Amino acid sequence: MVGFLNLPAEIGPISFPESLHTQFEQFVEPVGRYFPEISHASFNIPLALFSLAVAGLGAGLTYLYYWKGGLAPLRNLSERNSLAGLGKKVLVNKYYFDWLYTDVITGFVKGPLAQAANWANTHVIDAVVNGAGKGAVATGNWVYDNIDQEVVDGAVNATGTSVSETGGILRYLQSGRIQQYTALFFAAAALLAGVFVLATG
Amino acid sequence: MLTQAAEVFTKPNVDYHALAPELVLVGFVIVLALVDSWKLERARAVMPALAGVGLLAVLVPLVTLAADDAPRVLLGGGYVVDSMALVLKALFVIAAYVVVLLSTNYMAEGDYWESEYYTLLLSSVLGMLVMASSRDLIGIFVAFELLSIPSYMLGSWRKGDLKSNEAGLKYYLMGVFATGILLYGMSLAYGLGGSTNLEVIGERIAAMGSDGVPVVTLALLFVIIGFGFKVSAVPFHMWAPDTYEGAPTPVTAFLAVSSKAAGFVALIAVTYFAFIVRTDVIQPAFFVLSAASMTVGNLIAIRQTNVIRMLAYSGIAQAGFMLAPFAVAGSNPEQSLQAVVTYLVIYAAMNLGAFASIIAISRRTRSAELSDLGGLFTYMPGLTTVFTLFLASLIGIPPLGGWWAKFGVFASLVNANTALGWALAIIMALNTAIAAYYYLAVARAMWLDDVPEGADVSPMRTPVSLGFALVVTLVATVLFGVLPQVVNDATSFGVVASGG
Amino acid sequence: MTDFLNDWGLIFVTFLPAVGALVMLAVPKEAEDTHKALAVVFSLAALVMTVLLLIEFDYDAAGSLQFVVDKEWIPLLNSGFILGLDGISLPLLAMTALVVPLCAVYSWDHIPAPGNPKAFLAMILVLETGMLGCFVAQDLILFFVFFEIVLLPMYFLIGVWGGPERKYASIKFFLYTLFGSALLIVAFLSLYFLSAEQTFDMRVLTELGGIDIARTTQILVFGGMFVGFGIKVPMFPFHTWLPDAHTQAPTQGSVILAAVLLKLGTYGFVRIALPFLPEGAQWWAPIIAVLAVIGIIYGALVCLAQTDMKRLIAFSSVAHMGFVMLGIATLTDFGINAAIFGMVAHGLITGLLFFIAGSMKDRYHTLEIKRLGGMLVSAPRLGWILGLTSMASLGLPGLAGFWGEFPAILSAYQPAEMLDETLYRVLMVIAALGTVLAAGYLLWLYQRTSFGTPSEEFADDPAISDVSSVEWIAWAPMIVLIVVLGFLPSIIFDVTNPATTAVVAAATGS
Repeated sequence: MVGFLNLPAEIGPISFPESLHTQFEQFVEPVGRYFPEISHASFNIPLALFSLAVAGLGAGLTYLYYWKGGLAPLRNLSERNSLAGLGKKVLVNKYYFDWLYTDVITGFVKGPLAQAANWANTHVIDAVVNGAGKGAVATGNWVYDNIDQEVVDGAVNATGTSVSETGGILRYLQSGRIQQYTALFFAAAALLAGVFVLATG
Repeated sequence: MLTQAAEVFTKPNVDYHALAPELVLVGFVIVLALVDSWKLERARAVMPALAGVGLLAVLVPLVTLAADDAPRVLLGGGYVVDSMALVLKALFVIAAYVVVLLSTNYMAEGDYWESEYYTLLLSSVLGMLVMASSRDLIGIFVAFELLSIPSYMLGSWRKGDLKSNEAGLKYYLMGVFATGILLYGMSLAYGLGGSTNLEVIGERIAAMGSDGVPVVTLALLFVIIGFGFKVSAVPFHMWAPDTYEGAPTPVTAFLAVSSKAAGFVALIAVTYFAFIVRTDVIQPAFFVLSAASMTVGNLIAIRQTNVIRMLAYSGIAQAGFMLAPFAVAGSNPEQSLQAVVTYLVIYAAMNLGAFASIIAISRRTRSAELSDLGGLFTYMPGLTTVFTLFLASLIGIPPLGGWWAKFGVFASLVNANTALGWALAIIMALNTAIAAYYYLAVARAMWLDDVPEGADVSPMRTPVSLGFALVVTLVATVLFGVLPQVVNDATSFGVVASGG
Repeated sequence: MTDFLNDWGLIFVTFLPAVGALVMLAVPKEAEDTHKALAVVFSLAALVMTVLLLIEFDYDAAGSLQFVVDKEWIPLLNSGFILGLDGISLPLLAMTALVVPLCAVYSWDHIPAPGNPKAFLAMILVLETGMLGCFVAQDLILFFVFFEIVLLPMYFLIGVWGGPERKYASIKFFLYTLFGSALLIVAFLSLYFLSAEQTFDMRVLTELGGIDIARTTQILVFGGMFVGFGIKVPMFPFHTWLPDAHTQAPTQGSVILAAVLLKLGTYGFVRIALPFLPEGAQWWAPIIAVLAVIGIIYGALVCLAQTDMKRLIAFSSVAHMGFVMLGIATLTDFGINAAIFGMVAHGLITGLLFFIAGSMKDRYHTLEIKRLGGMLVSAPRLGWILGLTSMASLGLPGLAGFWGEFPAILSAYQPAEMLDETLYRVLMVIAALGTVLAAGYLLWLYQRTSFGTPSEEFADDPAISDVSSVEWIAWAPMIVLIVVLGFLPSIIFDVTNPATTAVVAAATGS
């Protein structure tokens, strides 16, 4: 049907009415103004006749072999001749295309390849993202534990215990917290002053 | 000197209209003290209302002065009432009013001294008002002490609690040391400039060229460090988390917003009116303070499990954002000044809102620990939503005010087109993302976590004053974000008056 | 009427949902049915306004902005409150305005655990304002504001109403996109300060076309936008937030995420990145094209390995958005037309797939593919709809998906002049292979979930009922559109073409 309705505009001298050609062209090959130009193969009469002839020959041979019982030497050829046997096996397995498609290509894509892509997604790409996030939190923790709390010390935990142990605010202050703060304060001021005086002097 | 002083003394011509806001506040401080000593315990009930009315009354002369528009200069240039001073005064007054609203129930229900509390609070605000107009080292120092000393006492207001006593004492001692450094820097500046007037100092320093550079550097640096303490800039921030946690929460809000803003106003005064001539010193100095504050503040805030402590550290990081425009003060004076003031205004609205929310929430949870806020959304949906909006604003998500504040800082840094500006813009972008993490952690606990076992989930009424505080801050936060021009108009002072 | 639409139409469309959310705040939480009705009413109101605009739209002038609202907003920055609608915005605006009411309808009996329709639907309405605003904003700052408004509601939709891994998925979504936004705003700001005329007005910036910006600077700034928008799309390798967010989000969240949110990124490329920074675009285009094609193949391969139906659909978005990005990267009007069609088609098809997955989850309480099966027996109509949508998704001609995919591939045959033709033709071939893989994973999915007999586990489960009436109402418009657009693609192409021609003219200097 499609072949029939898609007759070329003309074959040699015969031209066909418009209703018989380019019926579905816009579906198989969009021609809207958004599409780039596509060049078409031209209609080739010898080629068309040759392919029709090959098909006709095949049909003829089949007719002779099955309906007329002719072509006796070919009977059971595949059992006698190993080459022909191999040929038959290839033919029975449809040139192994199904095997190639289903088991080799599809199987590989569906199985190992897809799994590998998925593995890479979680273990490589996503791991980088998660790593960046965890890294930031870890840096925060490290700064808090090793810099802020070591040098500056957290009063949250310390207050409760040391105050109850010593029983008074004065003793608590003598335990060093304020001295630490003050020392740091002046040290930072002196350091900044030193650096800037040297840098600008 | 002596002869000079003895020579002539003419009584300065006092412009009472220009001083009206301060005078009204002084009047109310006196009224509060009198009512307290006359009515004694019976005065407690009226005190918060009286303090609130007093603060609102200050707005009246502020409005008339704003309508008048012409800048007024008093005391030979030492005291200036211009549009910037008025905006800052309005900011201090309204912020203090919100603090009063936050304090009303907190103080009444907690068995604290109330009368003295409001008197001291108003005295501190008076210092801030003076600070906003001072263009003179002595005026600035007096204002600085006036606003600081009451706040040392307010910090230890929970008298039965050792933590609070520690908070106040620590704040006081560190404050005294910082004042020492500040005074040393100021005396050097006076020695160099031969005057206490900022403008004169600026001119003299500029005229000195490369003479005596180390002394100039020391003077500038020590003054900046002295105020850096007040704004809790790293590495002078150590007092802040302990003090914030120990102080009563409304006082913490006051320290984190008003007191910090006052520190910034002092920094603006000394930077833009005097030190701006030595950009080679101040720009790198502010760069260091800003980058250190935002980075250290943020990294430590991530670890906090207590919301108030987290807000304290995040306040350090926010101070870093506010310090950033100072690092391009010389290259881009007009825009950087506007960015700082805009940030101050918006920061006040959203941070006070955050404190109001946590005060309202902890009336039910009795704690500000993250683990106790789990599932808050299921039983306090309204407060949770409001608090989340404030957190979103602090992150900088449009259309809430915080985004505009951050945007202004970004724009001033990028537009300065200096190496320091670009570097700081990048550091700030990274820090914005880090900050999002811990602000979001609070939202996450409230919305996504389960209610902790044994939590009391019965409904609770939010007191009127607290609710009003939430409404005021929320409206301001949203308004500043949706219509940023409102705050722009208020903070565009044109070319900086004297420094530029 | 015309005057009203000209002056107020876009404002109403954009803010009606937000007004709805405010109204809902005033209604107590217990009145659940009222909330559901309010959400439907307000999102439908926005849809009606959109339809009125579509009727009033001058299709002969689809290349220029219409219904322009231009109000002063932040004079300090030269940033205005500018809204406008042209051929690029129109299909996306219409799709958004359609999808949200459908989600609201679907919510009638599908409020995910832990309930609370008030908050759930209010979030969706706020989200809608953000999304609609993005597509009509004609000022960079305004665009950015709308772009960001979307973040928080989505974070809560995933985080509160999501699946078991919701906390991880929501924070990842939020921080990842926030990181992208930070780069975006820096890029916008540098554009502002570097341009000849300091403005955020997108109309002016399109006209300027980066005329005063040096090539290297353009490349750098475009890089910022590339990451910012690329995360949202999401382009390989910035896609890892997507499967987690999609899988954990509640059904309505997944639908909106897939249908609209991803398009904000591709729309940003078309509307902002290409015309504003032409030389940057020309430098980046081959890189984008290569990453897009990697995304197509990679997404399809990962789909084949998925065991969870929702996660599979999520990864299929990576592949489909790859086709869209390939079309954009050709820098031709043909490719960009295909890309916009692809955005709409993907929105409808993948949105519907997520709806179906959500409804299946309600019935089976699992989406593990190997436990499902025989849906054509136990719920035949649901099975047929899944079949139709899968076919549309794999790009079957006659259904909407085809017109997004096929022209995009074809456009790579002939990219813009300054681009390397050989590279693009190689990419075209590889992308075409991707369609085969798409057919593979979708048909395989359909076969395993719908064919055969129901597994013993679900054989006599009374919970497995067929499509309910609420579901019909929510899905029918999408099904109809998938078919109609499949047969009449020119409905969209005719609208987008004049506008994309202008974009391409700006982006290639031709």
